[in-house]
Amino acid sequence: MIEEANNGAGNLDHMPGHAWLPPEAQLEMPQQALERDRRGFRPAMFLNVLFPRLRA
Amino acid sequence: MSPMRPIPRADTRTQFVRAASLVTAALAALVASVLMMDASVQDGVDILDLVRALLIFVTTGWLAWGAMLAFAGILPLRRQPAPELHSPQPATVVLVPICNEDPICTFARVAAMDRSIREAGLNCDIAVLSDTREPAANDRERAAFARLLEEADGAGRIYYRCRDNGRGRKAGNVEDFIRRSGGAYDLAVILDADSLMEGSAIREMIARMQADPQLGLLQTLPRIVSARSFFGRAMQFASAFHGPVFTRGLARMQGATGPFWGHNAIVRIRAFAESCGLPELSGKPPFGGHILSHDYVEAALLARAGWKVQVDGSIEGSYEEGPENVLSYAKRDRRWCQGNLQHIRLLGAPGLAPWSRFVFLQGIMAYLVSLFWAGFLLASLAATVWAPAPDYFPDPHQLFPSFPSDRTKEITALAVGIVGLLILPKFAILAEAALTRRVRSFGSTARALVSVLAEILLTSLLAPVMLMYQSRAVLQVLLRSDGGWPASNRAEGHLSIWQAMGASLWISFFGAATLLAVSWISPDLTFWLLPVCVPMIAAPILIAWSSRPLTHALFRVPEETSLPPVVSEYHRIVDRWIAPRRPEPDMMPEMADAAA
Repeated sequence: MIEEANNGAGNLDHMPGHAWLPPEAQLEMPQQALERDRRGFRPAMFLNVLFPRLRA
Repeated sequence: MSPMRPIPRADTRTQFVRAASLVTAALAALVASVLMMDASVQDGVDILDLVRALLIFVTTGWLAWGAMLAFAGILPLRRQPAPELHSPQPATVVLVPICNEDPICTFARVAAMDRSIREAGLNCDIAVLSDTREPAANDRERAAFARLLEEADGAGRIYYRCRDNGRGRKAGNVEDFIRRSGGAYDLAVILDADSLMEGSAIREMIARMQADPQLGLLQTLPRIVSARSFFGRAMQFASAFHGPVFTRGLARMQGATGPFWGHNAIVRIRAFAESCGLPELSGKPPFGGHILSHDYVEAALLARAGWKVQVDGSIEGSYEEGPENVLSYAKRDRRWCQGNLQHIRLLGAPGLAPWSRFVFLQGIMAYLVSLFWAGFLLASLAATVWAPAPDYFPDPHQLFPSFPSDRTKEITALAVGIVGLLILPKFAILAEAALTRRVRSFGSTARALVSVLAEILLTSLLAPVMLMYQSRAVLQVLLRSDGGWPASNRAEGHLSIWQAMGASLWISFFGAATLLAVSWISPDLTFWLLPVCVPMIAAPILIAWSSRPLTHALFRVPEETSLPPVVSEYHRIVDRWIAPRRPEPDMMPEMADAAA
């Protein structure tokens, strides 16, 4: 995407290996959970949490 | 999600400051409510009395909380000596996210900082991360960058890249860099397009991060520089004079769960990458979609992952520019309002530190409180209009009339208390500045006193106008109107009276209509409403007048007496770059355009 976006940079393109782009050194950035998942919520889930043995 | 390390615990001192501030604010709110109830129950308790008591509880509590922040910062911190930077220096990159900014000013700032960084003996890369998507504007950025590279000999050290999708706005821009290039660095100094930092400040920040491996983010207090208008210079003075004390209070109150203001801060890239990948919220804007006020959320996420987040207002050499007039301020406030109210969705986010939730609540309250003040004023008007006529003979057999007792004293005490909560912290800060001789850098005690009084007068006059803008912004967001995130026009300065009228005539009409209605329905109240309604009626004049350039010594700040080296260098570079330049034979046309 960066390469595409900078295609046709004109006066910068003469630089060897696109030295004006930051170095490629990838890093994982996992998406964080910020919302509680309420899908499929059932009151019985509370029971499962409170009395895990019942579930077993 | 299970945190990788425990959330940093507040130490005993931080817990004490928090508890003392909360209790004091709650007590002040309670006293205000009791006074209000005492003054209004003489004709019997009705629903409006209860509503007013509740609203005054919340609004006074909020004011008292703000005052406690200042009082908590009055005493100086025991300054630990700044740690030395040890070799090898952590690999550091300075990130400058931009979007539709003036390219000459933006790249001139980068040039000034690059020079200052090298003079400080640091080896840092700088990456300008552009989200500008208009092709002609891109060309101008590239031309200014090419000139910067040429002058600073910055190839391989100063980078520029342009995204084509703008996903996630500024937070997404930084995230994109970290995903692609973050592995090459240990630390990132995150700036705004209008930020300037001395190399010495960056050196101190790197050393602090190096000395404390648990520190995930260190926020500095950026001082406002280059203000020219009356309004801008008043904000600049407030930021320089009151800002350090409020920030010290904030540091004492927040401990290791400190704030991130989105710029002029340093982050540990590994910490940021592992904990700050922001999701898109379900639903549509303004409450769904991209997280707008991402900085508060990133600070909370770092704390959730067990990293320390600290603010230190004593790091010298951190600067930014501020809005030059009320309309620019209100425009920025509209964005922040939407961003902060979006945090309503995040109050219950899993695993956050309780203090992070409280910080979200504070940000939300900062905007809702305008609506509460407006509601209090309207409820007070309604209570007066609907008050039953006094009954002088409640007992049919009594011989002498019983007059309702005069409650003016209680109401006056309430008004004085509320004004006191606004003004007292500023005088306490003046006393602190005089005692610590900090006042010298603002001219003298007398000059600082005049500036403090002028700033109080200006903010008091503008408070009803800002109340209207904020109330409108809150209502717009609550009615689900998405204001987007328009770029700041940092060059906005002087406004004509016609421009001011176009943006504020509705406030004048509202103020005039309220005053007329009250003087007709309940003339006794007219006097009490004058401090609110007169500034509203005069809003266009106030807005236009306060945007005029202010050239005399009022609101003098230390940075004007002795221009910081990086700011001075920036001005020199801008002057040189905007001066006509003869195109060199090998210069591309767009470079010549930028130079001209």
